[in-house]
Order: sequence, then C-alpha cells, then structure tokens
Amino acid sequence: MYHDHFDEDFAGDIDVVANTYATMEDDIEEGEVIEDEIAMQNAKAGVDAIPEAVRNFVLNLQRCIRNKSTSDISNMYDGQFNRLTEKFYTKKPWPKPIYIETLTNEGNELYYRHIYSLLQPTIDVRFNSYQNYCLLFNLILNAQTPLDLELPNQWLWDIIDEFIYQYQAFCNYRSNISKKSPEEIESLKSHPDVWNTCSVLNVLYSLIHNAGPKKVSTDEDGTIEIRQPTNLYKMLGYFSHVGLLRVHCLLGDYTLALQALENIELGNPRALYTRVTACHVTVYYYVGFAYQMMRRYADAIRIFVQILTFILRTRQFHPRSYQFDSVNKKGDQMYALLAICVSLSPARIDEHIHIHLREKYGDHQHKMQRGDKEALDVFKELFLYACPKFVCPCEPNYDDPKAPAQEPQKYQANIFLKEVQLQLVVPTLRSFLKLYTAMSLDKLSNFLEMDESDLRTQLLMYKQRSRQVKWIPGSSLLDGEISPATDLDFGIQQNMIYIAESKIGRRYADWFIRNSTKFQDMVNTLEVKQRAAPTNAETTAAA
Amino acid sequence: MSQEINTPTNSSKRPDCRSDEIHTLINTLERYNGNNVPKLESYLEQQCQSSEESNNYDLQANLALLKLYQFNPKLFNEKYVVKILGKALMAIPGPDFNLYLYMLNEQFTSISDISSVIELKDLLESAHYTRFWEVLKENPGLKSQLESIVGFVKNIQVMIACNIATTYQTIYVTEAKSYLGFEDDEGFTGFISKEGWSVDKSDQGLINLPLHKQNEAKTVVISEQIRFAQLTKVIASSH
Repeated sequence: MYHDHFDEDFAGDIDVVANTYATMEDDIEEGEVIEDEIAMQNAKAGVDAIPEAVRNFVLNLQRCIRNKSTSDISNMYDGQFNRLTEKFYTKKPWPKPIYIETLTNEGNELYYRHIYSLLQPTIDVRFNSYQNYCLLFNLILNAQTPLDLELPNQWLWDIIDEFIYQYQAFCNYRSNISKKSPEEIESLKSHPDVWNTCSVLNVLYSLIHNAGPKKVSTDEDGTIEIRQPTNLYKMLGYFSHVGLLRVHCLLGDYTLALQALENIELGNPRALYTRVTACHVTVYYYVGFAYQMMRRYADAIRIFVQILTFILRTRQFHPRSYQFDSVNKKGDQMYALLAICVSLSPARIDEHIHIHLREKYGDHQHKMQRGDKEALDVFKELFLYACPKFVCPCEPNYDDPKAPAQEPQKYQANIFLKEVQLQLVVPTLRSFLKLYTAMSLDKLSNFLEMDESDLRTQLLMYKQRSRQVKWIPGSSLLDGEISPATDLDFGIQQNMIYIAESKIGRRYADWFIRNSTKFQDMVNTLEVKQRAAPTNAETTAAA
Repeated sequence: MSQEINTPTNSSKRPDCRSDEIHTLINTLERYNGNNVPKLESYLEQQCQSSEESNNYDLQANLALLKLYQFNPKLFNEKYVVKILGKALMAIPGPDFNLYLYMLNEQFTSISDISSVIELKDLLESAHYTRFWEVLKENPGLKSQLESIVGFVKNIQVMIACNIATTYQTIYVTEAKSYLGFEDDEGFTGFISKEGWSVDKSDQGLINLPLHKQNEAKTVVISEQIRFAQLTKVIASSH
C-alpha cells in the first residue's frame, strides 16, 4: 500500500521529492501531530529538512505502534527502514533524534543504531545513545501499569542485541587510552556510569525479573496476584536470558553464561528463540563457544553442527536484510570454530556440514593436524577470527597514559592456545597408534623422534586428555558425564603398548525401520486399491 | 577424588557444604555486590579447612568471588586467588583451572605466586609429574600456602595415581615413585597398597596394576541404540 507507493514514486531525485511533498505535508499532517509543540518552532527548520518519505515513514510507524498492528510495524521496521536508509542515509546519520522525537518516541533507538552500524561514532554519540537506552528501559521497567505497547519480536530482539553490542563497542573503544585525546579521556573520566558493566547486567536482570518466565514469588499462603506479562515484557525478558549468555561470555565467565540458559531448552524446534533467526543463531554460537572454552569439544561440535545445518537448510528463506549478512558471518565464524574443535577432538560429523567445512577450512584443518609450530599459528588465526570480542569490565587507568592497553582478546586467546597445545597430543598420537595393535615404546619414540621418558609423559597426557565431559540429553547444559572422547585406547605393559580401537557395529535398525515403513505404505496403497476395485467393478457392471 | 569413567558431573548442582546464605548470595543480584567479598572469602577458607573428601569444593562460589575481583580490582586479594587456584589444581583433570584463569584480569597473572601456580598447572596437565614435585619444592613460600589447603598433596597424588592406573598395566617402581613425589619407601608402600597396586613377585622393581576397562585395551564394538522416537511411525501403524 503506502510503501509500494513511495517505492515507485520516490525513486527519483531526493531533493525534488522532498520539496514537492513538503508543501503537501504542511497542509495535511503537520497541524494535527505537532500542533502543541512550542519547541517545534525551533525544530521546524530541522523537520523541514527531513525528506518527505522519511517523515511519512516516521508518522506511519507511530500510527502503527498506536494501533498495535504488529505485522505492519514489523513490515515497516524490517523492510522500509532499510530501504530508506539505503536511499537517503548511507553516508550520513539519520536526522537528529530531537526532530524525530517531535514525531515519535520510539524511533530514537534506530537513530543510534544506524550510526553505530555505518558511521564512526564519536564519544558524545556513545554517551547519548546510552542515555537513550536508559530512557527507553526506564520507560519499560518503571511504568506503574505495564506499558501498553506492542513491538514485533524482531525489533525487541534487536533492541537487546544492539544494547549489548554498543556496550561491547564502548568497552573496546575505551580499552586503549594511549590513542585518545585529553578531552576524550576527560569526558570518559567524568562519566564512569555510562555503559557500566553492572548497569548493563542490571538492565538484563531487571528485564528478566519483569517478564517472569518462572514464578518469581513463591509465597505459599499469601494470595499472589499473577499478572500475565504482555508479549513485550515476556519477549524482552526472554531475549535478556540470551543477552546474559552473551555478556557473560564476553567477560570470560563461561559457567555463568550457560547457567543463564537454564530455563531454555536447546534443540526444541518450537522454542521461542527460533522465532527470530538472529537470536537462534546467537544462542547456538555462544553456547558452542562456551563449551569449547570449557574443554567440552564434543558438545561444542554437536551444537555447531546443529545450527550450521539449520543455516544451510534455511539459507534461501532468509530475507535479504542486514540480518542475512550477520547470520552468514556468524555461520562462517562457527565453521572456523568447528574446524578447531574437530582438529582437537576428531569426530565424525554430518556429511553436508563436513563438505562445507572442508571447502572453507580444509587447508587450515590439514595444517592444524600436523601439530607443529605452524599449526598453533593457524589455531590462533582461526580463534581470533571467530571468537566474540571480549571486554574488560573495568575502566582502564585514565591517569596513566602509558598504561598498557587492555587486550582481553589476546589474553583469552593465549589461555586457549595453551590448552590447544596440551590437547594436540591426542590427534598426533592417535594417528600413529591407529596403525598398530601392539608396539614397543622405543619403536614409537623413534617414529616421533623423542626420547622414551618424554613419550611416556605424552602417553599419560593422552589418557588424561582423551576423556571429556559430555552432555546427557535432558539434563541442564552444564551437566554431563565423563566419557571417552576418542575411539582409540591403549594400555602399557612394561615396554609394550597394547592398542585397541573401538569399532562401530553394523547398523541394522535403520534399515529395518525404513523398510517396514515402506512395506506398510505399500500395504496401505494396496488396501485402498482393493477397496476401490469392487466399486469400479460395480460401475462397470451397471453400465 | 575418584575419576571413574561415566560418573555424572553436576557442576550446576549445589554442593552439600554450601550454606543457604551463600546459596542465595550467588544466585541473586547480590553476587555483584562488592560488600560480599568477605563472606565468599571466608567460605573459601572453610572449603580449604574442611577435610571431607568429596564435599569441600564449590566451583560456583569461587567463580563468584573471582567475578567480584574482576569487577572491583581494588578488592583483589592475591592470597585467596592462590587458594582458589590451588583448589583447581586438585580438580584436574576437570577444566576448573582454566575457567578461573579466563576470569582473572591479565595484570594479575604476572604476580609471582600466581604465575608459579600456573606453571604448576601446566606441569600437571602435561603429565610432567616429577618436575611438578621439584618445582613445588623449589618454591617454599608457595608450597606452604598450597599445603595449607587440607588434603592438597594427597589429592594430587591420588589424581596422578588415577591417571597412571588408566595408562599402565605394569609400571616400574622408580617411575611410579617419582611421579607420585614420594621420597621415603614407607609412605610409598602404604600409598600403593591403598590403591590396590601390588609389587610383582618375580620382579621387585615392577608394580602390577589392577586391570580395568581403561587400561586393558580391549576392542569395543559400539552397537547402535535405537531411540523410541525412531519407532513411533512403525508402532503407530501397527494398530
């Protein structure tokens, strides 16, 4: 309807469009919406400078929000906003929120988001954006009665997602003070509360508290008035769980990260997170990453394969939007993480994913398995490409300009790489042991070009490393049982190593199940035909 | 500290030694309140003093304490971090040590005692057991700090013994002794008999370890398991 109309008509020159329609606008809309605004007098010039199509968009958006027609909002939010941005604002920010504000309240968030995504934000913008989020969340959280507002899930997810992204961007920005001007440092120093880690966590916890996916008050005899949260609160709270998962990962607290998902069941195809693709992907990315850091490679592989299969399958359905790109980017990163995990803990994975993995990171995998110095470099390269952008929760020492920059990225990578170094013994030894059922220690030490006592150490290490905690279906994400992670086991008797490989027995069940289903189908078809046959005979007879 | 295969690990469950007060503390927003540092520190102290084998370790409470240090570097107390890391050494082969390490601020890891504990961890994890005991001995200050944790040495020995038992069917006495860090024969003999190991009758320099699933190297055939969900269609059509 409306958007079709401007899509066709407004394809031309921006200026022309703005001029022609601005006059029309004066007569119809302006009067009723901004009549009472005195401040508007000043802002009028600013508003006039806004291209007409954009102004209409904002007004329309406001109308939809008032009418609570979620599908319309989501249409406008997802499609039109991006189209307008492409057309008018690729190089410059959206009009100042103050002008938009005279038209609508909720548009502000979009303004800052746009700046972050396309333009280099200045420090003031960062501060203002934070203020804006505070206002928005205060409005939502402190309302006496629940806010009468409905927004599409996609937008709600993006609000949380962007909120955390901006927190992370701010932390990265302040982490290196040696390149900042004195004014910048001064204003950072005077605003310690802005994008403070505790406040960010507080917002997420409060949103969860307000949504109450589980009952908050368990007073047994008292009568509790249970107010059903509206969709807005419910979804914001839900997405905040995912937000916590992400923030805790960024801070390096992987246990707490997985704990944040305690109430969310992974792998359920109807779970709420599947409603927003970006959220779905985010959940799996961070869960998989946390597992990887907790040395639970088998679990990480399982998680990554699940989501990558999902991305592969739904590839053609993704709308062509900014979401598509970010999903693809995350997917690529997860292939890199998967390559790391598979190199550390060899495992058989789904065929399709395996093909894609080989296509993308075949060379890398080959190098990683060699286990030498170069292999570590490849691990490092992939890790740094695929890991989240970690943050330091506290401010750097502003008074010491020579203080070393905070580099959480490097720190986490170093710990992980040390871990890799220890773990690499498994694939290396495995490739040699696999060839024999029994061999003497000195023979193996010749192969590996190391002396015997070193080899004994390595074999001990292999044993310790070839066991992993694995998740059991139905338990919480953190739980699991210790189980062997390789298919190869051995025992040492004096100077001999006896090696045994576990084999996978032939699979009969699948064949029988498939064929009995097929047979059943055949019987069904025959029965239907048989039932149909007499009637056919009768009709022929009657004729 | 048994490391039997297939024992479920319930790191999300509440250990018995955790009091209600601590439990509420770490499960509410209170865990971000810097004023709670002393409570968590004394709880850690209590974990280090208790001699109950299985129930004197609380990963989550210790993580909560490190988180408070992470958020408030001014409250940082090296002594307790060393204790936490010492506890984590005892939890090897679990990943606990790294989980703690990921949460320390980078500058803390260069403090001498902490970097020494990290070195010890690397030695233990790379199975350089003999070297582990040597380094510990070279560092008397750290040694006394770690040994103030009840059961420290014994736990590490049991852990090493466990790993030896999964790797070897027979092992030389000298080797085992240096791995386990025993200097006197008496303690060593006592220890191995407790573990159920026996000195070979024909060769006094050799120890026989009991055979079990992990060190006997028998080929296992993994047979397929059918989930009920796979059968739903077949059962449904069987009237």
